[in-house]
Amino acid sequence: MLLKLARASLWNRRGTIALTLFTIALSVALLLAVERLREGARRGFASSVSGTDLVVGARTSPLQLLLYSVFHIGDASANLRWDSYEVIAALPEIRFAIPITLGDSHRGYRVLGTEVGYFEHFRHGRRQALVFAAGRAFAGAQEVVLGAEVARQLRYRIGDSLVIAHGGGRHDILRHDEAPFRVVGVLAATGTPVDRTLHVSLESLEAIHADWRHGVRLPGSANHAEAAPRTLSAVFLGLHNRAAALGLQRRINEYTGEPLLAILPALTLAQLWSLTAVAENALRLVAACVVLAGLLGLCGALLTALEQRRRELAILRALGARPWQIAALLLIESGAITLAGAVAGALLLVLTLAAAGPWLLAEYGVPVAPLAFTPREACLLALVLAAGLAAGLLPAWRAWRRTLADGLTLRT
Amino acid sequence: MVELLSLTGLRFGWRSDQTLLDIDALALASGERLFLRGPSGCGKSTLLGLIGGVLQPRSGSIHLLGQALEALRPAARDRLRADHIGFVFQQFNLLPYLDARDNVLLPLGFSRRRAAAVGSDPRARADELLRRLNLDADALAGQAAAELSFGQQQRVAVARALIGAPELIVADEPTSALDADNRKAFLDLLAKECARSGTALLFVSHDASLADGFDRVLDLPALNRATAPACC
Repeated sequence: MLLKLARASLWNRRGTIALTLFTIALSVALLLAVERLREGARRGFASSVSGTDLVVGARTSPLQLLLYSVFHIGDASANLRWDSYEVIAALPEIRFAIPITLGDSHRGYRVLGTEVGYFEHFRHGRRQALVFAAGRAFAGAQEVVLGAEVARQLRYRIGDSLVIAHGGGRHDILRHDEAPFRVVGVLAATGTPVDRTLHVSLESLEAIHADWRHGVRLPGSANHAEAAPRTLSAVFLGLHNRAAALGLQRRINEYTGEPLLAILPALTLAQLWSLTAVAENALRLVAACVVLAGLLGLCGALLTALEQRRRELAILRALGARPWQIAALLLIESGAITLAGAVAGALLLVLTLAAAGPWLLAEYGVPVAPLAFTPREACLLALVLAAGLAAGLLPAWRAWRRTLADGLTLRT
Repeated sequence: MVELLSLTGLRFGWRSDQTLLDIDALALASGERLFLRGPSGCGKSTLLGLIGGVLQPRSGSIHLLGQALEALRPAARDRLRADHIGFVFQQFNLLPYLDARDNVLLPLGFSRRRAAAVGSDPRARADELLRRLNLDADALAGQAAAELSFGQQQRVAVARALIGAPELIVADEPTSALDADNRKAFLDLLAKECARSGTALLFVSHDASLADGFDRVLDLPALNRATAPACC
């Protein structure tokens, strides 16, 4: 009976109720989106370096080394020497060593100089190897392997030719026109920065910079097909035994040949999360406040309607409804509005993520699965529902008091 | 005749220093039709609240079907009201967003006794009541009560009061918004339906011209020993 009454009453006020419901739906969608994006960002970052035990670079901050070497965010403040790399790569604990060099770009995408071993040893996600969607790894000079997004966005195919530019940025200003690269391979999508990267051999990269000084090409210089690399941005290390990582990290950090820094990616990522936790919590707080504002709106709408419904409640009392049933009617209404708002909010989130998911992955490398609701999100929804019921407590209490005071007729 | 309702030494006031009602004795027998006349402000609606068990007397006793209301807990008083009394008010009788049939069925949700009395097909019983009151439930299905004419609303209210055969119908100025012809027709219909179901009728109005046809007529100001400034 009460459920039927609540449904009919809400439908009767559907105009104002729809506005309240829409507010709650938007706030719930925002709350869930903050959570989903936070999780997505963490998962995306964590999946970018799943098989690497140590990252080594010139001495800098651990965070900077991680950001530029793995996520291609920012630049290296200094490089490490090739001979240092050779010393480290020759250590008995090392299973693989992948040297990388960054610095150039192509139409906003970073160019990574590395060795063929990169395609064999680099892991992402749950220790998944890189897979070629088309073509093969570079084998000689002026060959390039494209990440999935680079190939898709710039519509490159195997055999196409492209020119990389000196430095980063969206616009290619100092182009290496003298040394075009030929596309020989395209990697399958990984959902990591690899997708947004062009991969060339270290030797090719060294060669096109052989005649450059301080960011400018020297006039009259000749082209070099390949040149031995002299410096590197970083080295990814895989160990035979991961337990040796801490000991090796200390030894590299104490290396006397030049000042080096070795980091454990997972630990540095944790450091990054602890830094971003403040911003995350601020975002969560804002989202929670928006939900609270929505629920206060619900409370206000019920209280306002209560004044207009005094006659209705008096009729119910005359028919034998007890005060607790009148209060329960108000609670059912607030619960139903919150439930509908929460469901609509979740649906809104799913639709938004389904539409924006590919863009989020492509632009920011944040993987989001529209339908993958986590237990934490379920808890948040349960909390919203509980808060919605709580928002109905005041109107319910006032209705209960008022029905006692009004009796069968209204007393004003 | 079996006594259905009796008030003895009833005193009531909204504040402790004021007495609105002071009635020595008032009784209503089963099946009786009693007209209680009184001008606005003399405590008619308050008296109905006391009879309905929503208000508690300061002193005295109200017996309904042999049970002293003042001795019952609030929940038991609510149950007694739901089981044995049907109300018809002056206006705003119906839930505006329900159709005629759902309004008639409403009391059954609050009274098991009346739901049991109706039997296994309450919709058919509601439709029958509406038909007897010259209303077609199917034709009015899905039409919100607020869209009905005032006369139609009052007849739906009577059907709602009658469903489940309560022993007493309390009508509080139910004809005040009707024109003379409709007022007469409504009163005849109400009296006929109460007589058919053996239900007692307590009809409260300021209009003495409506008293014809009732078994008994009482004047509330004459019964009420309290001084009420707005009254008389």
